Amino acid sequence: MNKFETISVLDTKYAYALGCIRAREIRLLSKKRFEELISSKDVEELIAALHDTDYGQYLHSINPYRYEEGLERARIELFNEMEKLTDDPEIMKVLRARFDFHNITVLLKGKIAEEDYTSKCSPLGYQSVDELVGIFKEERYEDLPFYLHKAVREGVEAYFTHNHNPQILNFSIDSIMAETLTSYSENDFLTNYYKIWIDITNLKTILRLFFLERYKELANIALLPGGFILREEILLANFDRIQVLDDFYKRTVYYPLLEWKDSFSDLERAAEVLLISFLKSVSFESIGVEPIISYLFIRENEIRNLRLIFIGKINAVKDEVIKERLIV
Amino acid sequence: MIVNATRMELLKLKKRLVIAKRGYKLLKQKQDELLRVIQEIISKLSKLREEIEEELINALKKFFLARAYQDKKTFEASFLLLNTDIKLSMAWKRIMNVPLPEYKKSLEGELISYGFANTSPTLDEALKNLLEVFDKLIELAEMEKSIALLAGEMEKTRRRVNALEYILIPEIEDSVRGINMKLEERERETNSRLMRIKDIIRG
Repeated sequence: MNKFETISVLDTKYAYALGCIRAREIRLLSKKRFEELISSKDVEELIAALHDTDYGQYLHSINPYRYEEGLERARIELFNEMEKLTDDPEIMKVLRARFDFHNITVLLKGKIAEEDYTSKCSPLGYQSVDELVGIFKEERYEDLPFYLHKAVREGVEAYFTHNHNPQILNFSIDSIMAETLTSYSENDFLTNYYKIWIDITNLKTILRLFFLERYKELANIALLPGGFILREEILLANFDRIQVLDDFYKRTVYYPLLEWKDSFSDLERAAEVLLISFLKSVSFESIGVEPIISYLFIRENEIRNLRLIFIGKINAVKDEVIKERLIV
Repeated sequence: MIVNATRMELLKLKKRLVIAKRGYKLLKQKQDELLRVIQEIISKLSKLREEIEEELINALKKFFLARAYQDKKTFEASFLLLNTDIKLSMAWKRIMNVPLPEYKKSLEGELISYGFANTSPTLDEALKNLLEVFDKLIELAEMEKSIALLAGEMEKTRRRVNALEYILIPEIEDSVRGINMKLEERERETNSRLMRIKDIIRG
């Protein structure tokens, strides 16, 4: 695998939606605009500077330190808009599935700890939070969609067979999530996006496990299935030190990421840039649902950049450090 | 000091003076040694404090940046259901007979209890760095408590040294001098009385 797969979509039913996306793309925050936002003196000034953007309406009336609520409302609105534009419940189900997996992980942890963690559930999931809470309360797990049911079953089993280790529960649910995201959708672009995301996550996981000195112990549970590079292939390579990763990844698009293997923050930035370059490869498509999916992920990245600026301003992080971490 | 001006008392006071002077010398040495130990800890302490400040800033910076990677709910959910247990135990060691605390931290379970799919690798770094800083913070607490205890002991010793130097020893010396003068006076009195008696007998 030495390049991204070619995307060929001949679907014209999204012509109107794509027009809407083109109009919205103009309003995406540019690098220059981000730099202006970063140069804000404080968080109040930052909110004032965001007044004429798409985020102004969500942030103007709230306490600046509760910016997260405004960003969450912007994100909910983004997903609702995309739902209308795609007019395809199956695609939205896949796009929202990662939040469903987050919610069942939270509820499962709450069930094990006998605590109510409902407030940590995300409203962005395809399944309503109230419905999920009801299912967990009455333990009607068979009422969950099959992939979530499987995740709950395997998560519980992993937790109790691995000495009540919550990390193993997370690994188990993340594996089912990876399988679902890459096998459920019929849209090649979306599937490929998730496959690249899995490959990058696996590369980061390998480096993280070496950093924590737990590669041998956890690699077979922590690595995600479903990527272009098979989990089995990685396990078979039987890495004993970080240096040998270069040979393994040499002929892949992920090889440049290894340049940053000694700095997690740079690696993370480079990984996000790679993902965004894949998303942008379809930005100028005039047919198909792909530009809508691409826009959704790019906006999510924009929200993450804003969160970074907010956190940076609140915690007096230097402007240069925020700029370095910005993914545009 | 009110004492009987007798030879017996003089001998007792002279013995007390010798003991007081020896005690003074020993306490003075203890005071000097305590000061040396405190200065040694202080020099390590200021270096350690600088290191902690720098490392804490770096670790927290990483923590905030890792936090930016996820929304608040996802980030907080990463820390639900932890199996990490940090225990702090304390023992005592003695320096110059002053009991000083020795703190020991032990970590049970795993430091990282979250999955890797939705969390930032920077978070691992931040937590690992925070744990390292935590070790140094414990060392700092141990040093600060030791300094407080040693300073308390030094204050007590200083008061004893001063009491010996400025009150007890001068008072005993005064009493010895007073008794000596009284005894000499008595001797002169006896001499002059004897001389007078001698004169009367001759006369």
